[in-house]
Amino acid sequence: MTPSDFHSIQNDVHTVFSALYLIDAEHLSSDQRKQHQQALSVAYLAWVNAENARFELLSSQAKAELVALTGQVKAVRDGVSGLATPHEKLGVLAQGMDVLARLARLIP
Amino acid sequence: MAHFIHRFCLCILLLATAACASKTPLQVEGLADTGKQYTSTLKKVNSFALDHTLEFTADLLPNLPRDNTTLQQHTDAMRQRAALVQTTANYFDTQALYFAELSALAKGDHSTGTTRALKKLVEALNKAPDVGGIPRVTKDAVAGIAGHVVSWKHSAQVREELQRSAEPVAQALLTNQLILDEQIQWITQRETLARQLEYREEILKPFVGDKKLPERWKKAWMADITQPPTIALLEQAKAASIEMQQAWVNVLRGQGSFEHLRSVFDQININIVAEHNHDPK
Repeated sequence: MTPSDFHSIQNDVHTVFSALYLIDAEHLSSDQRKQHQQALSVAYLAWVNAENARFELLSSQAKAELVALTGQVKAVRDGVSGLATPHEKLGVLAQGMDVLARLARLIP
Repeated sequence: MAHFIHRFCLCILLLATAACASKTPLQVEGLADTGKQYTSTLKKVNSFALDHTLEFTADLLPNLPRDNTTLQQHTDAMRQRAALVQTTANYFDTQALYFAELSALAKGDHSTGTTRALKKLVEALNKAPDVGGIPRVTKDAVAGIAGHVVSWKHSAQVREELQRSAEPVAQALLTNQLILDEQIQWITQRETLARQLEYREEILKPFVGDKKLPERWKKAWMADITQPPTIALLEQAKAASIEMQQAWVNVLRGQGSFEHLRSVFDQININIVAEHNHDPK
Protein backbone atom coordinates (compact mmCIF):
# COMPACT_ATOMS: atom_id res chain seq x y z
CA MET A 1 0.00 0.00 0.00
CA THR A 2 1.54 3.32 -1.10
CA PRO A 3 1.07 6.65 0.79
CA SER A 4 -1.32 7.67 -1.98
CA ASP A 5 -3.43 4.48 -1.55
CA PHE A 6 -3.52 5.16 2.15
CA HIS A 7 -4.63 8.71 1.50
CA SER A 8 -7.54 7.35 -0.55
CA ILE A 9 -8.71 5.04 2.21
CA GLN A 10 -8.41 7.94 4.67
CA ASN A 11 -10.63 10.06 2.41
CA ASP A 12 -13.18 7.25 2.06
CA VAL A 13 -13.40 6.85 5.85
CA HIS A 14 -13.83 10.61 6.20
CA THR A 15 -16.66 10.57 3.64
CA VAL A 16 -18.43 7.76 5.48
CA PHE A 17 -18.04 9.49 8.85
CA SER A 18 -19.31 12.78 7.35
CA ALA A 19 -22.45 11.05 6.04
CA LEU A 20 -23.14 9.63 9.50
CA TYR A 21 -22.28 12.85 11.30
CA LEU A 22 -24.72 14.84 9.19
CA ILE A 23 -27.66 12.48 9.72
CA ASP A 24 -30.23 14.32 11.80
CA ALA A 25 -30.95 12.01 14.73
CA GLU A 26 -34.28 13.75 15.26
CA HIS A 27 -35.66 11.79 12.32
CA LEU A 28 -34.63 8.42 13.71
CA SER A 29 -36.50 5.98 15.90
CA SER A 30 -35.09 5.02 19.28
CA ASP A 31 -33.51 1.82 17.90
CA GLN A 32 -32.11 3.64 14.90
CA ARG A 33 -30.58 6.27 17.19
CA LYS A 34 -28.70 3.58 19.08
CA GLN A 35 -27.53 2.11 15.80
CA HIS A 36 -26.50 5.58 14.65
CA GLN A 37 -24.49 6.22 17.84
CA GLN A 38 -22.69 2.91 17.42
CA ALA A 39 -21.90 3.57 13.77
CA LEU A 40 -20.76 7.13 14.50
CA SER A 41 -18.37 5.88 17.17
CA VAL A 42 -16.79 3.22 14.97
CA ALA A 43 -16.49 5.53 11.96
CA TYR A 44 -14.89 8.34 13.98
CA LEU A 45 -12.43 5.94 15.57
CA ALA A 46 -11.47 4.59 12.14
CA TRP A 47 -10.99 8.15 10.86
CA VAL A 48 -8.87 9.32 13.83
CA ASN A 49 -6.77 6.16 13.73
CA ALA A 50 -6.18 6.62 10.02
CA GLU A 51 -5.02 10.19 10.68
CA ASN A 52 -2.75 9.02 13.50
CA ALA A 53 -1.32 6.28 11.30
CA ARG A 54 -0.21 8.92 8.78
CA PHE A 55 2.20 10.07 11.49
CA GLU A 56 3.63 6.63 12.02
CA LEU A 57 4.97 3.99 9.73
CA LEU A 58 2.36 1.34 9.10
CA SER A 59 3.50 -2.19 9.78
CA SER A 60 3.92 -4.40 6.71
CA GLN A 61 1.18 -6.70 7.98
CA ALA A 62 -1.25 -3.79 8.36
CA LYS A 63 -0.35 -2.60 4.87
CA ALA A 64 -1.23 -5.98 3.36
CA GLU A 65 -4.56 -6.15 5.20
CA LEU A 66 -5.36 -2.57 4.30
CA VAL A 67 -5.10 -3.43 0.62
CA ALA A 68 -7.86 -5.99 1.12
CA LEU A 69 -10.01 -3.54 3.06
CA THR A 70 -9.60 -0.62 0.63
CA GLY A 71 -12.19 -1.93 -1.81
CA GLN A 72 -14.73 -2.63 0.92
CA VAL A 73 -14.40 0.84 2.45
CA LYS A 74 -14.80 2.39 -1.00
CA ALA A 75 -17.93 0.28 -1.57
CA VAL A 76 -19.45 1.67 1.65
CA ARG A 77 -18.58 5.21 0.58
CA ASP A 78 -20.11 4.68 -2.88
CA GLY A 79 -23.19 3.10 -1.31
CA VAL A 80 -23.84 6.18 0.78
CA SER A 81 -23.44 8.77 -1.96
CA GLY A 82 -26.67 9.49 -3.74
CA LEU A 83 -28.97 8.31 -0.96
CA ALA A 84 -31.36 10.98 0.21
CA THR A 85 -32.99 9.94 3.47
CA PRO A 86 -31.25 9.34 6.83
CA HIS A 87 -32.91 5.88 6.98
CA GLU A 88 -31.41 4.81 3.65
CA LYS A 89 -27.98 6.14 4.60
CA LEU A 90 -28.04 4.53 8.00
CA GLY A 91 -29.03 1.23 6.39
CA VAL A 92 -26.00 1.20 4.09
CA LEU A 93 -23.65 2.48 6.76
CA ALA A 94 -24.79 -0.08 9.32
CA GLN A 95 -23.93 -2.85 6.85
CA GLY A 96 -20.45 -1.40 6.45
CA MET A 97 -19.75 -1.06 10.15
CA ASP A 98 -17.80 -4.30 10.44
CA VAL A 99 -15.44 -3.04 7.71
CA LEU A 100 -14.82 0.22 9.59
CA ALA A 101 -14.43 -1.62 12.89
CA ARG A 102 -11.79 -3.88 11.29
CA LEU A 103 -10.07 -0.80 9.94
CA ALA A 104 -10.08 0.92 13.35
CA ARG A 105 -8.51 -2.17 14.96
CA LEU A 106 -5.96 -2.55 12.19
CA ILE A 107 -4.53 0.96 12.54
CA PRO A 108 -4.79 1.68 16.27
CA MET B 1 53.71 48.65 -17.40
CA ALA B 2 55.18 47.29 -14.13
CA HIS B 3 53.54 50.20 -12.33
CA PHE B 4 50.18 49.30 -13.91
CA ILE B 5 50.56 45.62 -12.91
CA HIS B 6 51.43 46.67 -9.36
CA ARG B 7 48.29 48.83 -9.12
CA PHE B 8 46.18 46.05 -10.66
CA CYS B 9 47.47 43.56 -8.08
CA LEU B 10 46.74 46.04 -5.31
CA CYS B 11 43.15 46.37 -6.55
CA ILE B 12 42.75 42.58 -6.62
CA LEU B 13 44.16 42.40 -3.08
CA LEU B 14 41.72 45.06 -1.85
CA LEU B 15 38.77 43.28 -3.47
CA ALA B 16 39.83 39.96 -1.98
CA THR B 17 40.12 41.53 1.49
CA ALA B 18 36.66 43.05 1.16
CA ALA B 19 35.24 39.68 0.12
CA CYS B 20 36.86 37.98 3.12
CA ALA B 21 35.50 40.62 5.49
CA SER B 22 31.96 39.86 4.37
CA LYS B 23 32.22 36.10 4.73
CA THR B 24 29.77 35.93 7.61
CA PRO B 25 26.72 36.97 5.62
CA LEU B 26 23.72 38.50 7.28
CA GLN B 27 21.57 35.80 5.69
CA VAL B 28 22.99 33.14 8.00
CA GLU B 29 23.05 35.45 11.03
CA GLY B 30 19.40 36.37 10.57
CA LEU B 31 18.48 32.72 10.32
CA ALA B 32 18.36 32.16 14.08
CA ASP B 33 15.62 34.75 14.68
CA THR B 34 13.59 33.81 11.62
CA GLY B 35 14.05 30.10 12.32
CA LYS B 36 12.83 30.65 15.87
CA GLN B 37 9.72 32.46 14.63
CA TYR B 38 9.15 29.84 11.94
CA THR B 39 9.34 26.89 14.36
CA SER B 40 7.25 28.85 16.84
CA THR B 41 4.54 29.23 14.15
CA LEU B 42 4.67 25.51 13.37
CA LYS B 43 4.43 24.67 17.07
CA LYS B 44 1.41 26.92 17.47
CA VAL B 45 -0.39 25.27 14.53
CA ASN B 46 0.64 21.89 15.96
CA SER B 47 -0.86 22.68 19.35
CA PHE B 48 -3.92 24.34 17.79
CA ALA B 49 -4.52 21.23 15.63
CA LEU B 50 -4.58 19.03 18.74
CA ASP B 51 -6.87 21.34 20.68
CA HIS B 52 -9.21 21.68 17.70
CA THR B 53 -9.47 17.87 17.38
CA LEU B 54 -10.05 17.50 21.13
CA GLU B 55 -12.79 20.15 21.04
CA PHE B 56 -14.55 18.43 18.12
CA THR B 57 -14.23 15.01 19.79
CA ALA B 58 -15.49 16.33 23.12
CA ASP B 59 -18.56 17.73 21.31
CA LEU B 60 -19.09 14.41 19.55
CA LEU B 61 -18.70 12.11 22.58
CA PRO B 62 -22.14 12.81 24.12
CA ASN B 63 -23.67 11.54 20.84
CA LEU B 64 -21.85 8.20 21.02
CA PRO B 65 -22.82 5.11 23.07
CA ARG B 66 -22.37 6.08 26.71
CA ASP B 67 -20.37 3.05 27.83
CA ASN B 68 -16.94 2.37 29.21
CA THR B 69 -15.54 0.78 26.01
CA THR B 70 -16.51 3.71 23.78
CA LEU B 71 -15.00 6.28 26.13
CA GLN B 72 -11.83 4.23 26.55
CA GLN B 73 -11.34 3.74 22.79
CA HIS B 74 -11.75 7.41 21.97
CA THR B 75 -9.64 8.54 24.92
CA ASP B 76 -6.83 6.19 23.85
CA ALA B 77 -6.99 7.48 20.26
CA MET B 78 -6.73 11.08 21.50
CA ARG B 79 -3.87 10.21 23.87
CA GLN B 80 -2.04 8.72 20.91
CA ARG B 81 -2.72 11.94 18.96
CA ALA B 82 -1.37 14.04 21.85
CA ALA B 83 1.81 11.93 22.00
CA LEU B 84 2.36 12.31 18.25
CA VAL B 85 1.87 16.05 18.46
CA GLN B 86 4.42 16.20 21.30
CA THR B 87 6.96 14.26 19.20
CA THR B 88 6.41 16.73 16.39
CA ALA B 89 6.86 19.68 18.78
CA ASN B 90 10.20 18.23 19.91
CA TYR B 91 11.25 17.91 16.27
CA PHE B 92 10.45 21.60 15.71
CA ASP B 93 12.49 22.50 18.84
CA THR B 94 15.48 20.64 17.41
CA GLN B 95 15.23 22.76 14.27
CA ALA B 96 15.07 26.00 16.29
CA LEU B 97 18.25 24.93 18.13
CA TYR B 98 19.95 24.09 14.85
CA PHE B 99 19.21 27.55 13.41
CA ALA B 100 20.53 29.20 16.60
CA GLU B 101 23.79 27.19 16.55
CA LEU B 102 24.33 27.84 12.85
CA SER B 103 23.86 31.53 13.48
CA ALA B 104 26.42 31.39 16.32
CA LEU B 105 28.89 29.72 13.95
CA ALA B 106 28.32 32.46 11.36
CA LYS B 107 28.97 35.12 14.02
CA GLY B 108 32.40 33.62 14.65
CA ASP B 109 31.81 31.06 17.41
CA HIS B 110 33.98 28.27 16.03
CA SER B 111 34.34 26.41 19.31
CA THR B 112 34.23 22.62 19.25
CA GLY B 113 31.07 22.81 21.40
CA THR B 114 29.16 24.61 18.64
CA THR B 115 30.44 22.26 15.93
CA ARG B 116 29.58 19.20 18.03
CA ALA B 117 26.11 20.59 18.84
CA LEU B 118 25.45 21.17 15.14
CA LYS B 119 26.50 17.61 14.28
CA LYS B 120 24.16 16.17 16.90
CA LEU B 121 21.29 18.39 15.79
CA VAL B 122 21.71 17.36 12.16
CA GLU B 123 21.64 13.70 13.28
CA ALA B 124 18.42 14.42 15.19
CA LEU B 125 16.89 16.15 12.16
CA ASN B 126 17.53 13.03 10.14
CA LYS B 127 15.23 11.15 12.51
CA ALA B 128 12.09 12.97 11.38
CA PRO B 129 8.72 11.78 12.66
CA ASP B 130 7.69 9.17 10.11
CA VAL B 131 4.70 10.40 8.16
CA GLY B 132 3.48 7.30 6.34
CA GLY B 133 6.44 6.84 4.03
CA ILE B 134 6.79 10.55 3.27
CA PRO B 135 10.48 10.88 4.36
CA ARG B 136 11.54 8.61 1.48
CA VAL B 137 9.78 10.94 -0.97
CA THR B 138 11.34 14.06 0.56
CA LYS B 139 14.83 12.54 0.40
CA ASP B 140 14.45 12.25 -3.37
CA ALA B 141 13.08 15.78 -3.60
CA VAL B 142 16.02 17.45 -1.85
CA ALA B 143 18.85 15.37 -3.31
CA GLY B 144 21.73 17.50 -4.56
CA ILE B 145 20.68 20.65 -2.71
CA ALA B 146 24.18 20.94 -1.20
CA GLY B 147 25.27 21.98 -4.69
CA HIS B 148 23.60 25.36 -4.01
CA VAL B 149 26.20 26.28 -1.37
CA VAL B 150 28.17 29.17 -2.86
CA SER B 151 31.66 28.69 -1.41
CA TRP B 152 32.99 32.24 -1.63
CA LYS B 153 29.97 33.69 0.16
CA HIS B 154 30.64 31.84 3.42
CA SER B 155 33.51 31.42 5.85
CA ALA B 156 35.24 28.02 5.79
CA GLN B 157 33.45 26.76 8.93
CA VAL B 158 30.01 27.94 7.81
CA ARG B 159 30.56 26.54 4.33
CA GLU B 160 31.55 23.15 5.72
CA GLU B 161 28.49 23.10 7.98
CA LEU B 162 26.10 24.19 5.22
CA GLN B 163 27.40 21.49 2.88
CA ARG B 164 26.86 18.88 5.58
CA SER B 165 23.43 20.04 6.66
CA ALA B 166 21.96 21.41 3.39
CA GLU B 167 20.10 18.20 2.64
CA PRO B 168 18.90 17.19 6.15
CA VAL B 169 17.63 20.72 6.82
CA ALA B 170 15.89 20.98 3.45
CA GLN B 171 14.32 17.60 4.13
CA ALA B 172 13.22 18.75 7.58
CA LEU B 173 11.62 21.89 6.09
CA LEU B 174 9.80 19.78 3.52
CA THR B 175 8.66 17.30 6.18
CA ASN B 176 7.40 20.26 8.23
CA GLN B 177 5.39 21.30 5.21
CA LEU B 178 3.80 17.86 4.94
CA ILE B 179 3.05 17.77 8.67
CA LEU B 180 1.48 21.21 8.37
CA ASP B 181 -0.64 20.05 5.40
CA GLU B 182 -1.82 17.06 7.39
CA GLN B 183 -2.72 19.15 10.42
CA ILE B 184 -4.48 21.74 8.28
CA GLN B 185 -6.55 18.87 6.93
CA TRP B 186 -7.45 17.71 10.48
CA ILE B 187 -8.70 21.20 11.23
CA THR B 188 -10.46 22.09 7.97
CA GLN B 189 -12.35 18.80 7.67
CA ARG B 190 -13.66 19.06 11.23
CA GLU B 191 -14.38 22.77 10.88
CA THR B 192 -16.38 22.13 7.69
CA LEU B 193 -18.47 19.39 9.32
CA ALA B 194 -19.09 21.41 12.47
CA ARG B 195 -20.21 24.38 10.39
CA GLN B 196 -22.60 22.24 8.34
CA LEU B 197 -24.17 20.96 11.54
CA GLU B 198 -24.31 24.45 12.98
CA TYR B 199 -25.99 25.72 9.81
CA ARG B 200 -28.69 23.05 10.11
CA GLU B 201 -29.29 23.49 13.83
CA GLU B 202 -28.73 27.23 14.34
CA ILE B 203 -29.84 28.66 10.99
CA LEU B 204 -32.02 26.33 8.95
CA LYS B 205 -34.21 24.83 11.68
CA PRO B 206 -35.10 28.15 13.37
CA PHE B 207 -35.69 29.73 9.94
CA VAL B 208 -38.23 27.16 8.75
CA GLY B 209 -39.86 27.11 12.19
CA ASP B 210 -42.72 29.40 13.20
CA LYS B 211 -41.00 31.26 16.02
CA LYS B 212 -39.62 34.77 15.76
CA LEU B 213 -35.95 34.74 14.82
CA PRO B 214 -33.69 36.09 17.58
CA GLU B 215 -30.71 38.45 17.11
CA ARG B 216 -28.46 35.40 17.63
CA TRP B 217 -29.89 33.92 14.40
CA LYS B 218 -28.86 36.96 12.37
CA LYS B 219 -25.31 36.79 13.73
CA ALA B 220 -25.10 33.04 13.06
CA TRP B 221 -26.33 33.51 9.48
CA MET B 222 -23.84 36.32 8.77
CA ALA B 223 -20.96 34.36 10.33
CA ASP B 224 -21.79 31.36 8.15
CA ILE B 225 -21.42 33.41 4.96
CA THR B 226 -17.84 34.50 5.68
CA GLN B 227 -14.77 32.25 5.55
CA PRO B 228 -13.75 31.09 9.05
CA PRO B 229 -10.68 33.06 10.24
CA THR B 230 -9.00 29.81 11.22
CA ILE B 231 -8.87 28.56 7.64
CA ALA B 232 -7.48 31.85 6.29
CA LEU B 233 -4.85 31.81 9.02
CA LEU B 234 -3.74 28.29 8.25
CA GLU B 235 -3.42 29.18 4.57
CA GLN B 236 -1.09 32.05 5.56
CA ALA B 237 1.01 29.69 7.69
CA LYS B 238 1.22 27.27 4.78
CA ALA B 239 2.37 29.99 2.36
CA ALA B 240 5.00 31.22 4.84
CA SER B 241 6.25 27.69 5.36
CA ILE B 242 6.75 27.29 1.62
CA GLU B 243 8.67 30.59 1.56
CA MET B 244 10.91 29.28 4.33
CA GLN B 245 12.02 26.45 2.05
CA GLN B 246 13.04 28.98 -0.60
CA ALA B 247 14.77 31.05 2.10
CA TRP B 248 16.93 28.05 3.02
CA VAL B 249 18.12 27.76 -0.58
CA ASN B 250 18.89 31.51 -0.45
CA VAL B 251 20.94 30.95 2.72
CA LEU B 252 23.01 28.33 0.93
CA ARG B 253 23.54 30.72 -1.96
CA GLY B 254 24.33 33.58 0.39
CA GLN B 255 21.49 35.65 -1.11
CA GLY B 256 18.28 37.29 -0.03
CA SER B 257 16.99 38.49 3.28
CA PHE B 258 14.74 37.20 6.03
CA GLU B 259 13.31 40.60 6.94
CA HIS B 260 9.92 40.15 5.25
CA LEU B 261 9.55 36.56 6.47
CA ARG B 262 10.22 37.66 10.03
CA SER B 263 7.32 40.12 9.98
CA VAL B 264 5.04 37.55 8.27
CA PHE B 265 5.75 34.95 10.97
CA ASP B 266 5.32 37.60 13.66
CA GLN B 267 1.84 38.46 12.40
CA ILE B 268 0.80 34.83 11.94
CA ASN B 269 1.96 34.01 15.48
CA ILE B 270 -0.11 36.87 16.91
CA ASN B 271 -3.18 35.80 14.91
CA ILE B 272 -2.88 32.14 15.87
CA VAL B 273 -2.67 33.04 19.56
CA ALA B 274 -5.74 35.29 19.16
CA GLU B 275 -7.66 32.56 17.34
CA HIS B 276 -6.54 29.91 19.82
CA ASN B 277 -7.84 31.96 22.73
CA HIS B 278 -11.10 32.63 20.94
CA ASP B 279 -13.96 30.40 22.10
CA PRO B 280 -15.20 28.65 18.94
CA LYS B 281 -18.76 28.37 20.25
